[in-house]
Amino acid sequence: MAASIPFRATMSYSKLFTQLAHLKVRWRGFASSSKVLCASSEETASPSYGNTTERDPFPIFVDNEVQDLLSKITGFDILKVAGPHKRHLEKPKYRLLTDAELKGEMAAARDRLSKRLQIPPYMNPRKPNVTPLAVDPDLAHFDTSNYVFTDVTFGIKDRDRTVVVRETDGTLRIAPWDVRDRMNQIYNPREGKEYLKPQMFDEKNLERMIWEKKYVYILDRACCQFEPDDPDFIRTTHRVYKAVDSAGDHDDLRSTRHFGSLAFYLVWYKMADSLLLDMLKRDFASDAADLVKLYSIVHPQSACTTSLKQLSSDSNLAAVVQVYIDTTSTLSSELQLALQALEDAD
Amino acid sequence: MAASLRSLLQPHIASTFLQQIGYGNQLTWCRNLVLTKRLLQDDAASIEVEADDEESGATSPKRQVVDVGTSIRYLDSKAFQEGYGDKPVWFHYRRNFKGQIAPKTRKTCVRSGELATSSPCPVCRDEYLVLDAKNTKLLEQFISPFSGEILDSQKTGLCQKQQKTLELEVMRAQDEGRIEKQLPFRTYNYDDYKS
Repeated sequence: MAASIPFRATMSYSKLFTQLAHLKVRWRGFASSSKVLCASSEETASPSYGNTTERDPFPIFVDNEVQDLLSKITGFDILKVAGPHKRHLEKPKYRLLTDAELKGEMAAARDRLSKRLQIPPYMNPRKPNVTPLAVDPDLAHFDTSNYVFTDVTFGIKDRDRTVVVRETDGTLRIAPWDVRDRMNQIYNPREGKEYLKPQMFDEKNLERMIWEKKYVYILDRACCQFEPDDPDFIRTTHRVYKAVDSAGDHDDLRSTRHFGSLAFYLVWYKMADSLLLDMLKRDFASDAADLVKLYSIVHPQSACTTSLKQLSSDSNLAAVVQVYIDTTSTLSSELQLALQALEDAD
Repeated sequence: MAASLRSLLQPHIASTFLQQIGYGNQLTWCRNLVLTKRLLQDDAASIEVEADDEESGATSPKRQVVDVGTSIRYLDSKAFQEGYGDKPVWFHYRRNFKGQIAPKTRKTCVRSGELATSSPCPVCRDEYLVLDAKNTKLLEQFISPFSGEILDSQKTGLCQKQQKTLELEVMRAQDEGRIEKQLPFRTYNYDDYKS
């Protein structure tokens, strides 16, 4: 395996080895803690709600029907999507357009903005690689620290990159995830990602920011910093979703890329009641029906799904929500009241 | 003597002193806040010098060192409101230079623990302004609300030393999530994550 790795030095050897020496120092600190960290964060990442943690949510998440439902729920408030973003200021450009051209420009802008609502992948935390690739006792104590080898072939994707570690006892392993992430950032830096995890994601600072209700900023920065299957990403986002749900601030995330993730998370762990209530109170009846449909797709074995199937295809939105209230809801009385109010208003 | 000096430097007492000498609410236009304060100190000190002869041997700090907590409280205080109004602290500061094109700002206003210039920069002139990651209210006065970038020292008039401190503290505040920074938009390719 080690021989098959195309290893190209893009810099002079002296420079490379200074970097390696630099890495060694960091590596020692990380090596001892990384496995322990992985294990502990996986435990905290996903709340144990029965056997749902074992299923892989990603195939369901990328399903076209689910994606359609999620993007419909998200909504498209153009003032919010195109709202102020912090970016370098440039002078405005003025152009004279005909009506047809203006229409085309508006359509193009709408198209461009709708891409800003792409939902970050919803995944399970990644598993650590523990099986060694090769054990060479002859190489034991070749040096006092580990060596990291990185495949830097042009055009290779970060997720396909081969990164291996030769440890001091002569074992060759696939690099742990945190080492991989740092190697990727060194050889293929991504804008917005820091080499070391920002202190913002520490428990204390995160707590403060949630209290200040900077939900969207936390989630945006988590997207920039972490891979979607990083236990840290999952821990951070789930923490925020939980806070949003308990504070009833669902509307803060509407028309952002994170609303779909929030809805999927709540449906996945069967906690979507307060979101449904929020939708009904805000007169989003079609969104509420979509959420119930999403629930039936995510949980095909549930009582809600079987009852929905018996419903005729042309039944109205209220009937769909009614099925959910009757079968699975834990806030049934409040939901019933909200639904009643919605029907009376029509 | 030291105790009386310290009490003099409390913001509310300083402001009452300034009111007594006739500045009152025109503090906004008083460019040499610190110098005025120091002159008052000297007056007060010269009066008490005879009384505290035995203490004069002890070295008193030339410039008061203020901690972050006090600075944060100062920014919320009435004294601050009277002094600066709703404008940022650098708003009324005017640089003193010859000609039309402003040169680079000076390296530092404070040398060997003492003001070395008669027109110190907006942060050096007020000891109670401490640039720190926790003092976000002050840091935000030096950041553009539209782009999130730090304003140029040519605009704010900060000395090079304070500008460097400002940049470091803003980075620290962004790392801790106290100040929001520019973030690029990350686009995902779902096919990469299918395995």
